[in-house]
Amino acid sequence: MTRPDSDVDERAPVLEQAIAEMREGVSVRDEWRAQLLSKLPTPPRRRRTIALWAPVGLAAAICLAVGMKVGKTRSESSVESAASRVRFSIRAPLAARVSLVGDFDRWDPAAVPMRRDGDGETWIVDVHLPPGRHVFAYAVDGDLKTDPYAARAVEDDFGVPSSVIVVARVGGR
Amino acid sequence: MRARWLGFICAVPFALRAQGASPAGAPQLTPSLKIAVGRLADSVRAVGLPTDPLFAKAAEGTLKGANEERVMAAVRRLARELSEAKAALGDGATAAELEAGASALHAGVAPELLARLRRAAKERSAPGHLVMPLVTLADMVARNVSAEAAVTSLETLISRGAADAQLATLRSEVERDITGGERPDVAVQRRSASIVRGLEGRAPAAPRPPD
Repeated sequence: MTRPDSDVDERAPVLEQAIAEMREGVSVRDEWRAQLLSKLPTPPRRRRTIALWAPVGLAAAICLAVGMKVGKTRSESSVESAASRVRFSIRAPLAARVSLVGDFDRWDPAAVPMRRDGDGETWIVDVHLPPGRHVFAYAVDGDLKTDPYAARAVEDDFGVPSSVIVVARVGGR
Repeated sequence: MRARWLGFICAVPFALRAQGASPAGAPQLTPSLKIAVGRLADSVRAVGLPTDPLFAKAAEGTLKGANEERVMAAVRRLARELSEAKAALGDGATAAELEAGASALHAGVAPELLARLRRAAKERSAPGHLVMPLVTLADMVARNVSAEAAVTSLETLISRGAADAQLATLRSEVERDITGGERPDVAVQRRSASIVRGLEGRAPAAPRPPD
């Protein structure tokens, strides 16, 4: 149910304070978090997941689309759609440094560093990608690795394979 | 209070964009390569083609240890494919569509087939509408689906209003079928027919635009 804005303005201060407190993130001790996560079932395999930002709401989606357009040059502006958040992950327990490289960051190993996940063996990073086809790889201690769960890029101009991810438009038709 | 939240929400995309892009561009390019790509980019920009893919390709080659000659050969080839894609898709094609079209050409699709997809989509044209069909086409052809069979299926799906997500599903299901031993053309025909049946069950089929 929606309420008119005038009702919102007349909310009691105590109600506003309660709402503000509910919006605050709940801090949990790391040990508790680790125990809780250890009780959760392990997924069958780790792989990239695409999570759309629909829950953030219409306002955020509009701002996201506007923000992406403002940040692009004319030649880059392409699809009129919000970007999608994509999680990349790769298992590399012995690696000291892992980063995501691809056409979206001009293959710059310093642009998108990955971080170790809670298990200490998997490296993850979330990035926002515009709809379309993106060629990428993982730079694991300086060596390029493909994603074992992603399609192999058809163009292999340099004799080193890459992976491909396709991001669909939000509600694209 | 509301103004603060609105400000926060609007700031989010800029912060998120910053995490995924290198503002310095392509730092690992050698000066001579940067100049050579820059010159090519100037001529490409003059005819309305996107230049970012050229710098990304040069950076990819450099990171992968290719010499400058090989990098420039790949960059020039990409520039030619972008130009051919624009000729096939028309001046209204977006940068993402041109990149996807260039990828399809790289996979071996003839420019005439790209033009067929554009004609199929003209009744439903919207910016970026052809990105997913072109990506799907390139991917299927790379998996040994004949370009003719792939385009025919995509024409049918586009004209019936298939969503991007359905094309993405088609792409992954065809890949799975081929891996499972099915003949590529049979896989794409069977899977696309299944999607068409679903679309016809959802709503009356849209009239197919004339070729």
